[in-house]
Amino acid sequence: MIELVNVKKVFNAGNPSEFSALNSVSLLIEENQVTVLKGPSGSGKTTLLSIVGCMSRPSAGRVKLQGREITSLPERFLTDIRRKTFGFIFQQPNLIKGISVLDNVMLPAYPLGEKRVHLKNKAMKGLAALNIANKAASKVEWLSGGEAQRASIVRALINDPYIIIADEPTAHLDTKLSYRFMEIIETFKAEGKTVIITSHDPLVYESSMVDRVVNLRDGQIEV
Amino acid sequence: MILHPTVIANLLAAYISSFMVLYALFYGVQILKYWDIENGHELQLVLERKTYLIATLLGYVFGLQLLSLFLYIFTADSLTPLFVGAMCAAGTLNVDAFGYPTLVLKIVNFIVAGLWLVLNYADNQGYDYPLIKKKYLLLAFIAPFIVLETLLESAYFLSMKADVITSCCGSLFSSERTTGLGSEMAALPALSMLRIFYGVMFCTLASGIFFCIKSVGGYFYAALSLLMFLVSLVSIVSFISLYIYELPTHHCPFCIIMEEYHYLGYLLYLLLFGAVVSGIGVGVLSPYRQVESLKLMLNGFIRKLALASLILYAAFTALVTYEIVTSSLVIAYEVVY
Amino acid sequence: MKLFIKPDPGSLPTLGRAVCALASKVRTAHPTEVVFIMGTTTKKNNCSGQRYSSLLLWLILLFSLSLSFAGDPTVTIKKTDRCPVCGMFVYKYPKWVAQISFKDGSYYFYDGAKDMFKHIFDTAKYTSGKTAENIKDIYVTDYYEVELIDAKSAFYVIGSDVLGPMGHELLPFKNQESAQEFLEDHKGKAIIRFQEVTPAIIESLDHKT
Repeated sequence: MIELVNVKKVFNAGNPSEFSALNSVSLLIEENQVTVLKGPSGSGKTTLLSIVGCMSRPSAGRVKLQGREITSLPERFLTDIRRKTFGFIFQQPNLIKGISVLDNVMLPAYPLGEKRVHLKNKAMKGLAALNIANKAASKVEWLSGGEAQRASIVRALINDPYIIIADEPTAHLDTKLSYRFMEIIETFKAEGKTVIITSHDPLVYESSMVDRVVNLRDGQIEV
Repeated sequence: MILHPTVIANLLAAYISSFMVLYALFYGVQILKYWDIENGHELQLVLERKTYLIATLLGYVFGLQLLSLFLYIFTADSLTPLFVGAMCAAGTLNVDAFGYPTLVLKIVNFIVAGLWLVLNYADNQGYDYPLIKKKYLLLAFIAPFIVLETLLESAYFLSMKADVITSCCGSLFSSERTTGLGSEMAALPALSMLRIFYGVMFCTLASGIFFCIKSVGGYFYAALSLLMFLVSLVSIVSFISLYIYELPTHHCPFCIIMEEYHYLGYLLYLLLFGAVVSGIGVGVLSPYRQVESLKLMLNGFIRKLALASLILYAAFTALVTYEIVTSSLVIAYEVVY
Repeated sequence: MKLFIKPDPGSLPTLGRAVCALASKVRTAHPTEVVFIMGTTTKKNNCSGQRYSSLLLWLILLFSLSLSFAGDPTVTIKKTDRCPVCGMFVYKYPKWVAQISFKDGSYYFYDGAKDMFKHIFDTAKYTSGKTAENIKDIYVTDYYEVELIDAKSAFYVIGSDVLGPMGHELLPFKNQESAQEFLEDHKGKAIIRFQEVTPAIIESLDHKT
């Protein structure tokens, strides 16, 4: 359902510092599965993930999302798809300082213009599901690492996306929290969502709920 | 050359426009040759990125082009104190051989630039750049006119000499002269022209309203828009100006932009030019109503264009009628001016 | 320009001559300041007599001043006044103003003598319903003195290198001498009178470049 055809990504093209992050990657990611992109640092995992998640465009090649070609879409259409289809969980929680946890969580839904009362209810429900409802009004600076990561997960889910993208999600979490995280991923799978994770943490890619591991090295898929 | 700030502004705008249009044309040609939305080659992706930039740039350039018509007339009006015999833009434009040709070209470019903007807007609403080749083909068509206009405008301003005696608009647009388009328009009988004006306007408005309701006859309305535009221009010279000035022999279409007439001319021309661009836009976009990615929105947009055109023409007519009714001039029926 | 007046208040004939000389001078010279220099006298019995005489002089002067302007038009040019021939706004060119007033009380301003003559030659065309017979007064602006003078008695110089708002013009002068002086200074071709102006002359002025 996510199809990559000959995707290439080159940074600084034409300069002496030209760097080819992805070299002709062709990949098919199945629906309702947990796919892990595994590889050493510099192998192009994050680049691939950002292309899949409509966050950047390839230098060559096409990406089809459920049959619909997304790399040639004009920007205004791309933002629409990005907002509704994908939920992003980054390596760092990347919460916005100065506003509360609840505001942070509701933020990606503002452009869609939903009624604030409904949105707030949804956000509170999400926070409750991850046991941080009592922190809803707190400033994000006061959260612990694990709480911040959970808040960012709730944020990723606010628009009810059917694809979750997580980039090295357990990098800053201890073992206990990492297991907790994988349990959350399992609930996503149970809900019918598709999950794509990049990681070089064995705890993640050797986990039993992972359906497929794709090995990347130097911008190409290792068979 | 006369270093008046308006002259510098005009030339600067013209050079920037020409440069940007040629830059855009370079990529436009590439798009026309190599664009293929299906393949994923590097050039295609580069072009997809580039068209976003180029189309945005051209949007501003053509917006500037629309303004430059009014800036040009304003400049000609501002420079009148420098030339003996000139009392309005008509005299300034007559100072050398390039003034009026530049004006004609600016009017043409206004309309074509406006149509490009309409086409660009429609293209941007589709997710697969449905009208991209048509858009850049239109650009290729417009580009030489823009460059030519810049050349003529430069020639006009650079060969302006302050010690020239130029004709006053009273003689340029007088029905006495035997030659010249101005005098031919002025010599048209006022009452007949009045009837033609209201007659064609009635047909245009009726056709437009019919199109808005039934969505049939878009091309017909576009053609009528263009005809109405030309009839309006002739009417301004022939009889509308007489009522505004309250002088039975003064046909000049440029004196109405002066401060003493409350800048009425700018409003009249703004309404008229806006109406013709949106009217012809209806005809330009109508062939693409069945395009897959535009199906949902194009019909609505075309109807909005037609409505805008109708409102502008109606406002124009209302303003003209108001001027005629409140004028203290009465054109005697038996006298032919 | 200052005008100094020092009359001898005791002498009536002197007073009369002073007033007459004053009236004509004031009309032509447009004084910006009129300074009365009263003579001083040490004789006691002449003080009050001097005061009354100077008051009388003031009154006579003022009366004659107003009399000397009696024949000129007193209508002011509004910002909306336009030349009926070419449509130009006349207030922009105060040095070239010409004026015609009709017997029915209407009046028109022009941006030069040329347009004024065009109106006279074809009155009905520019103002329907009026004819040249209904004209009461015609004025033009003297080029040197910059004041309105009667058009019918004026001297017009044509063919000079001085251009009016409408291009080549007929430049009006009050008398032959100033017209001649102008003609020599500005390469004028001829001096003509009001009655000698013809439509052909007007047309020739228009077609010169």
